Amino acid sequence: MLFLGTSEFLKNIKLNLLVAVLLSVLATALVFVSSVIGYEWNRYKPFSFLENKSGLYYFEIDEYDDECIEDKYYTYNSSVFKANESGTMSTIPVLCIQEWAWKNYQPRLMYGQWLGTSSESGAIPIVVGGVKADTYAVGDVLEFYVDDTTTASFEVVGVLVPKSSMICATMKYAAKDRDYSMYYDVMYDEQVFVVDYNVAVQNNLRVLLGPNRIVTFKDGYESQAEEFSKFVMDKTDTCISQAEWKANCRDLFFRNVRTYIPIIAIGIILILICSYASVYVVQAYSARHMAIYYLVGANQGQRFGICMGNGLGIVGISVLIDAFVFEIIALSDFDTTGIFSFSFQTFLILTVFYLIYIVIIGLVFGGTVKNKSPKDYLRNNM
Amino acid sequence: MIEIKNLNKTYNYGSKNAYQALFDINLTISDGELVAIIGKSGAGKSTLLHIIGAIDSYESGSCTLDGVALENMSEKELAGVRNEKIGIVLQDFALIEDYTVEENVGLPLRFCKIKAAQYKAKVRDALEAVGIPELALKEVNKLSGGQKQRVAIARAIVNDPSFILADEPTGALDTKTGQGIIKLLEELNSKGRTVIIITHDMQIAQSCKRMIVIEDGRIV
Repeated sequence: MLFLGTSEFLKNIKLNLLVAVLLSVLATALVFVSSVIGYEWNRYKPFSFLENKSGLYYFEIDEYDDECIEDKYYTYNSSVFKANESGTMSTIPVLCIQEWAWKNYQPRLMYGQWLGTSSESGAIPIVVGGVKADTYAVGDVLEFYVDDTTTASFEVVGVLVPKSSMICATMKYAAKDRDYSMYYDVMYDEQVFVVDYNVAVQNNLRVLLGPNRIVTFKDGYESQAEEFSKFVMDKTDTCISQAEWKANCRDLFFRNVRTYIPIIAIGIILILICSYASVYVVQAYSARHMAIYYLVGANQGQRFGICMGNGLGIVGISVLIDAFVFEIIALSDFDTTGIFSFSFQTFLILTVFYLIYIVIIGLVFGGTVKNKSPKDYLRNNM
Repeated sequence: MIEIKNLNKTYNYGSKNAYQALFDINLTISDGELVAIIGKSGAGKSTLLHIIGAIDSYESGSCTLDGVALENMSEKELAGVRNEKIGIVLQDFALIEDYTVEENVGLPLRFCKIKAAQYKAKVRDALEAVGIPELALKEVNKLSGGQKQRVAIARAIVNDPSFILADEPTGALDTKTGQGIIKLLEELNSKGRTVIIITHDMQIAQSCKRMIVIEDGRIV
């Protein structure tokens, strides 16, 4: 019956292409709206049910000084940190961790999947965020000035190379409008581990670049976290409690989402228009066709098969259109916000969306598959 | 043979806006009959045809086709009855306009187990039976009304059903073309098929061997 559905799809190709285009616009609008919300959600994770892990500590650290960035120097409580000559810079929380590690000399702070090896070697992984893409290669040495005379060196042992526009966009997404696209995990014993952003996120490692930079410690490392906490507390007045942080995140989430209200509103209007139009177009011929199939003895399963064959054709075309559009966006500089990007989550959202849409299309076509509808159509229209 | 006993049909049964369309219908149509069911608009004749055609259900009484009671059948079994035992012709032809004549005629065969070679042969035979084999590859939307109705009849007989039900088959046609369609139905009847024609045209009804009159949901 899927074959008959495909035939049905081809026979009504003009209308189906129209529906596919409408669905593409619908998908784009939906992805856009969900990306905006998802992006802000990821930044702040405003609701605690997503943070149901215990033992997490959050710190908010002041904005760094833009002028210092321009000069490739950073100030942090009267200490001066200098980026290496390539113009690389580290963000304040990174330097904060680094400084703490440097001064204590006994590495304690560890992250993610390197916890085991790091503990054994007594090493301390440090996240260095905001390194420009293609700055380093394996074997390069990073040199940081801790003060005017002291430096610390780290060898790059791995570099994350963008493998596709998706990963590239994921990084862009993470870094928003900044031109940074790599995350380094630096071992204090002169090793640098390069961390895939997704892996870092999976491991609860979040040093986000942006107004609110957040350092998260995994469960079971509370003591180290507390130690770090004390250090940060001594250094800054801006450390906040977990409760305050969450409240702040909620506030920031809603505040930022509110700024996107015009975009979201346009997206929702597009979604409504395209949904209605696609349903209308499809129903215009499918109800009659299904009544005819009913008349000549197609049972419910057979009619559903035809619907699905037709629906899959439409959804397939619309997926192709969207893939093309999104790829162009991902490969171009059009997306300066980082919102309209192909992150893994966006892919997931798209996939789920299309699965939902296949069901909706199935229902639209299949509305007439229900026992009652073809009878009604026959009675009232034939 | 079609046997209807004490059949009642109410639309929206059990709800406030329930409307009874058929009252205590008793009717027997033997094999090979050519029957006209006549009545005014809204009398219940199409409802009766829909019930005989396994399209619609009813709340009481029974309707049996060749000894098999429709009320005891599942939706799937009823679809099988529509596919194999009954050919239905409607006033608006009920054809898929973008499909070719051949594709439209072959539709019922898509829903039963039939081999590809048989499919072609059956479609060809049906088109020959209605006198339009040369139109096989034409799209339906390029045909005249009379030709469309012949396609609909070809589709109705392609699976060799026992009963042909025609609901106002000439309603959308001019008199001359309509006469040709009635003649075609008579020919099919002469070959042993039971043909039931729903009409409000007395002239057509009189050309049938038997006439059943329905008024306000009752046979009179």
